[in-house]
Amino acid sequence: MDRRKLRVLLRHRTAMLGLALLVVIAALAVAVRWVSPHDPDEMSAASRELGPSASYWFGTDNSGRDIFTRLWVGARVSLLIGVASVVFSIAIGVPLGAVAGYAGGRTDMLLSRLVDLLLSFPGILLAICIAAAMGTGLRTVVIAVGVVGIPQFARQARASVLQLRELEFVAASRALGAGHARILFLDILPNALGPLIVLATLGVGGAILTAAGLSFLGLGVETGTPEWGAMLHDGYGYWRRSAGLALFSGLAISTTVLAFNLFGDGLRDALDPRSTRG
Amino acid sequence: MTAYLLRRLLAAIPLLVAVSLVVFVLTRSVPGDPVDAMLGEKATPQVREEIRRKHGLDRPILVQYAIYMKGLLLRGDLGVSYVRKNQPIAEEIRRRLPATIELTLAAMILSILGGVLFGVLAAVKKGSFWDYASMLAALIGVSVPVFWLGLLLMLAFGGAFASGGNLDPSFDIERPTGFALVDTLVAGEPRMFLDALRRLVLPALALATIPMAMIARITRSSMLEVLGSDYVRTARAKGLDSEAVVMRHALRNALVPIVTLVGLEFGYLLGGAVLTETVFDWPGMGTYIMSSVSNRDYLAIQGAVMMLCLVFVAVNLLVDVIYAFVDPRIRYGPA
Repeated sequence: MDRRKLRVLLRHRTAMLGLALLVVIAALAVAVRWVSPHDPDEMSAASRELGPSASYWFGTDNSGRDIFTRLWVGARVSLLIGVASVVFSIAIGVPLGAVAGYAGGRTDMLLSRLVDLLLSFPGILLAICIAAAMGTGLRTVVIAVGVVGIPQFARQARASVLQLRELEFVAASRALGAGHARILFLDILPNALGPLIVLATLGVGGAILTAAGLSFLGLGVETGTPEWGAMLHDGYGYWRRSAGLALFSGLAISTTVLAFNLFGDGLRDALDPRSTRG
Repeated sequence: MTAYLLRRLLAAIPLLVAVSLVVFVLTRSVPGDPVDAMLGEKATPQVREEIRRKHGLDRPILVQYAIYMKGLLLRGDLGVSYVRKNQPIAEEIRRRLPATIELTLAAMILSILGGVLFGVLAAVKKGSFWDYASMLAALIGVSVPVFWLGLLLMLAFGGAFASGGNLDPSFDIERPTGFALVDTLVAGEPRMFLDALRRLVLPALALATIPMAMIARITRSSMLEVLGSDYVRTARAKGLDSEAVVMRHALRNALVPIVTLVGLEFGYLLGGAVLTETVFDWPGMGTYIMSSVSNRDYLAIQGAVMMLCLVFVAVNLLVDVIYAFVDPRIRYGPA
């Protein structure tokens, strides 16, 4: 990123708010063991479903575990799922779209149909199918959510490559004797990174939402894992008695996704001068 | 137009085959032996083999798929649930699908009305409090999980609106369509109709919020683009009042990208309905999928997801056709 773009980003107030939120969330996820005196898995019959207090900041769940501690231990799991799913989508989607756009013709048609097929499913239903087939677990969630995200990266990569491959620097590289792989992955793709980075940032938020939905349906991580969607699922079971767990885990998901969206929007404004902020 | 319709219909067939094949293969490759789910693990090998043959589980997966699709297309048969003893899955889905579609449609109408209203308001009063407020609401709207939003709505308004189910279970009326609002109207029961409406408000609002936010954002930018165009300036120069320009000239053209978005939203809404239903005990496909997941009733998951995906493909086809009506460039464009 050059200096001008960085300046636009740094002056983007909402983007900086998003970044600040992300830093706080990540810091708490890392440091929770030092901040909180409680063990995330320690159950206690005496302290079940307590409201917020000086010793339990966000109250306790129905097993007497400290919600505050579990929330930030859960942040690691949820952030990991969000980032890993997007990495999965990129690892498959970008080469798929890039090759389609670069090769054109039949290859393009075939690969584009494949992407269209993925788009023919409502995202969460596709994730449900995959998760049902693979059984619960962290790996399942990452793959199920990652597959749902493939089309958007494939489409963006294809569109960028289509546009860039006609430019002079590509012709120059070809004239110098570069092969297709070198042109595509070393010349074209680095120039197509901007929109992909924006998409990835926004995608992490979306991935966290989809993953939370899977866990809420009982198809996500193994029961007992402190993950936000699963915690919301548990909290939903007794929210009429004690709404703390459901409220705070939902708030954690929403705040994190909002932070990624704010930062992503700012990145788009900085990296893509054509986008209008209106 | 007929040629265009035919072309789109033909193109949809391979897509329907591909989608159903993917759903079938994925949901059939679940961990564990379906025979275990039917008989328990203690059944003798002979009995297991017999059941396996009877259900075609010993055949190659493509043959199983063909048998399944033949049953679905010719007899509307999706098999019987292993877990809920011998209950035909298609029957259950026929009962539940209208409830999901009713919720989805209600949310869709809400989201379009609200989204276009907020979007136009934000564009016309650009830079005002309304502009920032509606855009902030839109940003928060896309960041909140729909099931959590449902929970918040119940916490806030649970007293004012009935929740749980789509109709008071003590109401004993004919359900010819399965749509609670329609059935109560047909039965001539205004009291029941109001009950159904009160139960629909919160889930529909929860489900509508995210698409409403997206529609508001698109409407705003689409309106801003149109409002800045030459013909709008001409219309203003002719001396038309501002309202006529906005409503008759600008909004009509700004609506074209919104129609596409609405089509895409349907899929989101269908998926979101699955999640929303579980929060509000809505007796639709979502609660069915959720209970099938917890019962490990994979044939039921397969049937339910299959039907929802097929509905989704069909609706997308419909949106394409409507789009071609709205924008003639599409049907006369290159094939």
